[in-house]
Amino acid sequence: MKEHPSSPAASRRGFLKQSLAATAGLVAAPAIIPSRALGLSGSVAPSNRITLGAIGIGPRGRQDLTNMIAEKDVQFVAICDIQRSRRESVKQMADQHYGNSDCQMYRDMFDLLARPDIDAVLIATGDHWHALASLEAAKAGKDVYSEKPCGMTIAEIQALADGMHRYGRVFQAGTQRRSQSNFQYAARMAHDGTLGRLHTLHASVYVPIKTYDWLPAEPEPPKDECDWDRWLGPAPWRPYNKLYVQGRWRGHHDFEAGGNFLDWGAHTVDLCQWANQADATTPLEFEATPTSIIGRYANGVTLICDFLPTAFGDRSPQYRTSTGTCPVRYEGDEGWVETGDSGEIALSNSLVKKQRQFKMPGTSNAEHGRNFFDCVKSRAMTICNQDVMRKSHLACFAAQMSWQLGRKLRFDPVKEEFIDDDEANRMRSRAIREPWSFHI
Amino acid sequence: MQAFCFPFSLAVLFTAPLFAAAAENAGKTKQLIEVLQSPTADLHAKARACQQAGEFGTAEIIPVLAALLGDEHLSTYARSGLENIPDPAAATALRSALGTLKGDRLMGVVNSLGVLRDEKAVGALQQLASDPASGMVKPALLALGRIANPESIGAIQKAARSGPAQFRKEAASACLLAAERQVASGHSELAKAIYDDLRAAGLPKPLQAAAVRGAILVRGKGGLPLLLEQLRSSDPDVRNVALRTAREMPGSEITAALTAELKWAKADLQELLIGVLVERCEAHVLQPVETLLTSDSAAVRLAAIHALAKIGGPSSLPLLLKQLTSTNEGESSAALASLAEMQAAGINKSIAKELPRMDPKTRALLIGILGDRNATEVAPSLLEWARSPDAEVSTAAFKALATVGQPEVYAKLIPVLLATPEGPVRTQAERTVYLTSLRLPLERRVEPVLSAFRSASHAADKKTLIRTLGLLGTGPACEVVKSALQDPDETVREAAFRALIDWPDAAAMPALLQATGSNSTPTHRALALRGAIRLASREHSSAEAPRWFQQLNQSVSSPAEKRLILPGLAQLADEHVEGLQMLQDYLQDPSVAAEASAAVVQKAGAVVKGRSKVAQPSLLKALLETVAAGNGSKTQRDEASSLAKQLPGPGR
Repeated sequence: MKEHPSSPAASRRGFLKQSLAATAGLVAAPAIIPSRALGLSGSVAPSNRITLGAIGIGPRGRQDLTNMIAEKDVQFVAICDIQRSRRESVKQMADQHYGNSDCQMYRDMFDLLARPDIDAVLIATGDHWHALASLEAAKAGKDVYSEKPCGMTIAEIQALADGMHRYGRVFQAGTQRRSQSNFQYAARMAHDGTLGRLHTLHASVYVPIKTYDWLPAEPEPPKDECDWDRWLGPAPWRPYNKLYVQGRWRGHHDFEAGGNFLDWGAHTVDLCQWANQADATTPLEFEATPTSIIGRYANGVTLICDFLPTAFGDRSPQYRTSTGTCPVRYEGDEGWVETGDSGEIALSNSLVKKQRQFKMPGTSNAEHGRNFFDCVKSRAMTICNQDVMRKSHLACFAAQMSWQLGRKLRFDPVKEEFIDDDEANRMRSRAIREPWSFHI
Repeated sequence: MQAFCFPFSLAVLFTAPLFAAAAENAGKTKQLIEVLQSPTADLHAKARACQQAGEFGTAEIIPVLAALLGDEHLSTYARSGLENIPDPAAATALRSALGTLKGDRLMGVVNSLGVLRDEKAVGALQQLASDPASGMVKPALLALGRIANPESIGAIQKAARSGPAQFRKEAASACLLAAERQVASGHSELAKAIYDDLRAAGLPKPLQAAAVRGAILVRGKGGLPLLLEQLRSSDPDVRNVALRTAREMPGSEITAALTAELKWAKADLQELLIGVLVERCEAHVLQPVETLLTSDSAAVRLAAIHALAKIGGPSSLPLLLKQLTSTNEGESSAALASLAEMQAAGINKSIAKELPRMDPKTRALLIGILGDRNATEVAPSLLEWARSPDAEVSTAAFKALATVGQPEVYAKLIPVLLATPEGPVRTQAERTVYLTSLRLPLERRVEPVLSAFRSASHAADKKTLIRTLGLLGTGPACEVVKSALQDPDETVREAAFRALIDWPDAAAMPALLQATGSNSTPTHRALALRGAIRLASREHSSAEAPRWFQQLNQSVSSPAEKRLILPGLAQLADEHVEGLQMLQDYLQDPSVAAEASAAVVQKAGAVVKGRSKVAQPSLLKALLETVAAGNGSKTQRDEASSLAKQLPGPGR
């Protein structure tokens, strides 16, 4: 494979790879010392363990849970899922892990939330349930780790963030890349002046789509197999089709937040907000182009959400394919850094002269979960707490809406409303299907 | 699936972009009304029309939406429309529906009136909230909480205080919503009264905690006594919410009170309060936290050590250094991490000053920390420590220099390198020299090493410098290394040969090509061949690349050697037709035809996907057709045939 022009020529040989890896570790050490290395996650007495339950565990939730269950100070005790096969699969995993049969299964999340022994819950349902389930959990006195996107609309995100404060709960959004060393390293380069004055942030996203279609109606299964009414929950009614519950809810207006924009955008826009030290705000305006959505912050920094036609394949020319999925790039006067799920830290030629490129370990959720559990104990705010999540999700929704409406939108990050655009403002919320409501 | 097909004109609406200006909305609303009133439009079309009504519909559609509020499948969609049409008629329509609907449909309408904060609905909602037979007590209470005017607040307060037990949770939730609304609109006294009422209502813990939080925050500084009371609670749930609330209270007076509390608190609270105080970033927190480094509680000591990473100053340095030697492994490693992370000014120089007083093991650790901290200002000190006779210390110093060594350090590193005894430390020193050199422009990297080589007399030094030159590359360095092939010392000659094999640029190619000849030993010939193929492949765009490959092609004889050259030929073919021509020859060579076929297919695949280029597509197509007609597997033949069709050029 041909090396990128800015790659250090000598990275070709094992000896130097060793050197680079060793040095990379040294360079990055201060920002990425995991809490487990600091003695926060050793062997723990049962009385000191965090008791965890989970609601809605599909393939993604299983990844989260696999990492969480491995934490020594966490005891996973209960699974709730409206699909029997998923309930049983998670129980089997937990029982195998602990060597007992203690994991309890629930079809109704309120039965799980009523258990006083449960401290925290992992919520990994489909998008349309995230906010409501999180709020009900908070109202029941549980701390919450919610997969992203954390809500379906701007109004849901606002209700969720307010509710977490109201009930004094610890909240972690499943935007786990903030806890990964390579993304932390890149953010630090943006913060410490290595890149010079920051001017452009690139966030990769899928080519936006949104479908209002309904899949063909099929007979509903027995409620114990899959409770369709509960699966729909706060989403408006539509006829059952098994593909939805198998994961084909993605892209549907009523089930996936912001079309598909937030699938990667919740991560990559969030990372750009972080790089720009803009966690308390959002860009002030958004404008869609054929290849991207461009946002502009009050501090003059530009956010470019690049559409990737082959997000899981060749990501050139916008990004290097070698940096992996979910890439971001931060550009300043002195140079740029790009990173993604491969863990590669790619640098501009100007920066290669000053420091070396290297590769850090790729995607792992473990540290993000660890941060959540540490905060459950300390009551500190997590790295992706409700306030961080609120603004980064709002930025995503506003960007997606500028694409959907096909015009420039101006956004007030304090009032959290669009300026002089009634139609956009009306799209900030939708009705919730009865009997559910966000009056929590 | 007729029921879910798109209806007539609505397809246009779905596919058209939704950037209608306000003036266009009336016309589009008319279309939506047609869909909603059409006997042939299906549920899906009507559902989407309702949603679009919420996005841009005008008041004309409100009665049409209202007519759907009782529809089992469309009521939510209709409410989406009504909740978002900015016209008071929407709320009027919802209110009117209160008297006509039952069950879930009614509940949805009650919820929507709460979303709209419709004050005119308060009377009707109060009725529903006070009548358990309505089945609407809970949603009505919550809607009243959202509306939060004096009348609705009175109703929900009463319900929370003395209403039926089964509805008090919802009444309390409604009160919390109402209180927040009062705070947001500047009515703190009313909010305070609501929160205080709730605190006395004997609610379940989460609601009680939320009420206490609100009661503390609404009082500002005046909430401090209540906060401290909660912090001191023996109930962890109560204390936990207080710990979160403390973080929401700004001001140095709060910090001072929490700091004072730290002194008297029990160990488990001390541990948690340290975390709260650290986040407040106020200087006067430091000393009390430092004091806790001597706590009897290991958990408190650990929390204090972690805290110093964030708030530690020069006064913290000796304390953390002392912790480094702690017998508690968790504390010593935490101290190390905090030293690496501390941001206070002058810390790097302070650490460097402490180095002479440390035992070698601790010294090595601290030197490592200076590297972690990228402490460029202490590089001169690190250069001195690199000369230490203690291998652990000197290795740590070289490693740190690899991180902190700036261009001005580079030339000074070389004598230190040569003063280092042979072995692992010198190997580390060589790495450091190389890594430091990368911070200089290419043309300035070699001269200091060449200068040292010219004056080197010991074989060990010459070998070290040859290895270093081999990493740096460039023509002048290559000439010097080539001359070392004539050195009287055999080990120096061998080092020079090995350096040429791995040479990073084309300067070494003539020497390598020569070494692939018959005058070399079999081992050297094999090594030279691999080195030359690597280099030629790397430089495959060079104008000289075809000549190199042709020469190499003549040197290879065994099938194993031929296989080595095939990938390079595929790369050569990017810009030079000779690469394809040589591949063509190999396709005819039975000893490597299979591997050559695979290389051709792989190359073509990359070209078709746009990941590679090729000098002459028509020739690549011809090679593919040869493969397709050859003796390879059916899969390979099919793939070659398919790829050939995607390349330009005459087909067979």
